[in-house]
Amino acid sequence: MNEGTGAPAMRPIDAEIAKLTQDIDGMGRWAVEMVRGGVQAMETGDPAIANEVRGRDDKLDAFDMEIEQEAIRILAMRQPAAHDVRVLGAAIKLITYVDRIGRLGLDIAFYAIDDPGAPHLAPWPLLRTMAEKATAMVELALDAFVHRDLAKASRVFDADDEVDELNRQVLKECVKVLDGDPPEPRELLTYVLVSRHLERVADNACKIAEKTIYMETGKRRREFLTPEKKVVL
Amino acid sequence: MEDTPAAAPSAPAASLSSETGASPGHGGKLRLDALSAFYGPKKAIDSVSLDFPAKTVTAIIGPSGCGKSTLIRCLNRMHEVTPRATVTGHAILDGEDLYEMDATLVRRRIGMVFQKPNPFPTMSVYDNVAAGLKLNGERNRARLDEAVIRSLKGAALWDEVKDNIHGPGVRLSGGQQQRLCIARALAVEPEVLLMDEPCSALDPIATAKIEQLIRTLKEKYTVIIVTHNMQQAARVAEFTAFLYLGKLIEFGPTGDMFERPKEKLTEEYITGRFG
Repeated sequence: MNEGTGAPAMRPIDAEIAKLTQDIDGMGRWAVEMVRGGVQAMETGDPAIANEVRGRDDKLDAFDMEIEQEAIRILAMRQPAAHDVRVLGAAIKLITYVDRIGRLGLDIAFYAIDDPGAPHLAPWPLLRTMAEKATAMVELALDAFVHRDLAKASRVFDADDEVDELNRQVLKECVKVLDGDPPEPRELLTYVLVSRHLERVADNACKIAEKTIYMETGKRRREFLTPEKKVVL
Repeated sequence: MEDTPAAAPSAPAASLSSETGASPGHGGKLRLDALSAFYGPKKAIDSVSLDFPAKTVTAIIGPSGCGKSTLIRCLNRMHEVTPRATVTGHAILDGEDLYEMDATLVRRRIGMVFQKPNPFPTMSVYDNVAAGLKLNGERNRARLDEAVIRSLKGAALWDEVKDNIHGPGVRLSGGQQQRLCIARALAVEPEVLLMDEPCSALDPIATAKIEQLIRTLKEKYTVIIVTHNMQQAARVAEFTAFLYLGKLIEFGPTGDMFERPKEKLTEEYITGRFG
């Protein structure tokens, strides 16, 4: 019998939580591909790519339901406490954030379907950069969750500031182009929406990082904020 | 995303240190100050200091042999009944040191319910409840009747026994017998009620009744319960103390203890990694 000072004993819940963590990671990567696919569909104007993103939605739903079901089963069967219960609480929250990320990607894909082959206007490169940063943030947040890595969780918030700044730049650029009476004003409205969606993707990455911090420390993110509003863990 | 600066950490609702006094919102009813207990030369409790807030339920948890039962036996001076058992430090009830008071008076003010229901086998339900009062010299029948009915009601047993109150106590079910023992403890109007694993011999339905009773009892009494069942601690206790090898490892609001314990040992114990 382990008396509390040696190596931790393996418990049935350890394997269950490891599997749950792996599944959430899988769901997260799936959702990230939906965002990337949506942006790629806009970039190329290829409806096949947009339709492929649409086809990913059912599996996203299935991930959501199965992971939630499993988390509830573990709660009921194992009656977890401390770190275990915080992991399960985080898991149930995380799948909601990940589901939202996937749906934001789906929405972007729908914009591509609504307006296929639209010419790319001046702000487009900023949107592409935003998409790269926002999806990288989600991957970083998932890594932080999977590997219980607080340093990675803290870097997610730094990256969020960059995405927020890009969002502001996109809006500014769109207004500038609109002022010049462009031939495709509708395209610019789509840019504004996509920019907002990508900013929301980044926000959901921050929520994943926030829950990871609570899961690992039992403390809220605000408890680690400096007066400059930086997260220092 | 909106950020708000870190709020100042709130004061703990209860403290390991006796110097911090009672927890906010509750008067400290019973305070331990560097209390140690020995069996001969062997130290079973090692300098425990903590406050038990008034009219709350505090659970004491910890692995077998950690000193839970010894600790609560110190609180009504039962420990010293064991040959070669000694106590050092202080246990203060409303400002008075228990170890400077008459032991009988201490046991009247601090009642105890044991693991296994132990009604007096030859006595009726009525006589079991009245026994303590009679030992204290009460002979007035009306006052005894009043106390027995009040205590049985207080222990949520009256409705089940009122039609056969002079029947033998041992004929009751296990759960009823345990509530009879609680009624017997309540009859002498204690201020603190100690419960040493009161549900460990009971089925889930009887356990649920006792737990419901414990939640009611705290309106009038300060309850301290030793339990092996951590879910029971979570269900009934506002505060929890974790003991390990005779030392108090952590004490705090039960919700905090079970969701985010401060000590690694507590985490390992409540998540079943040892014990």
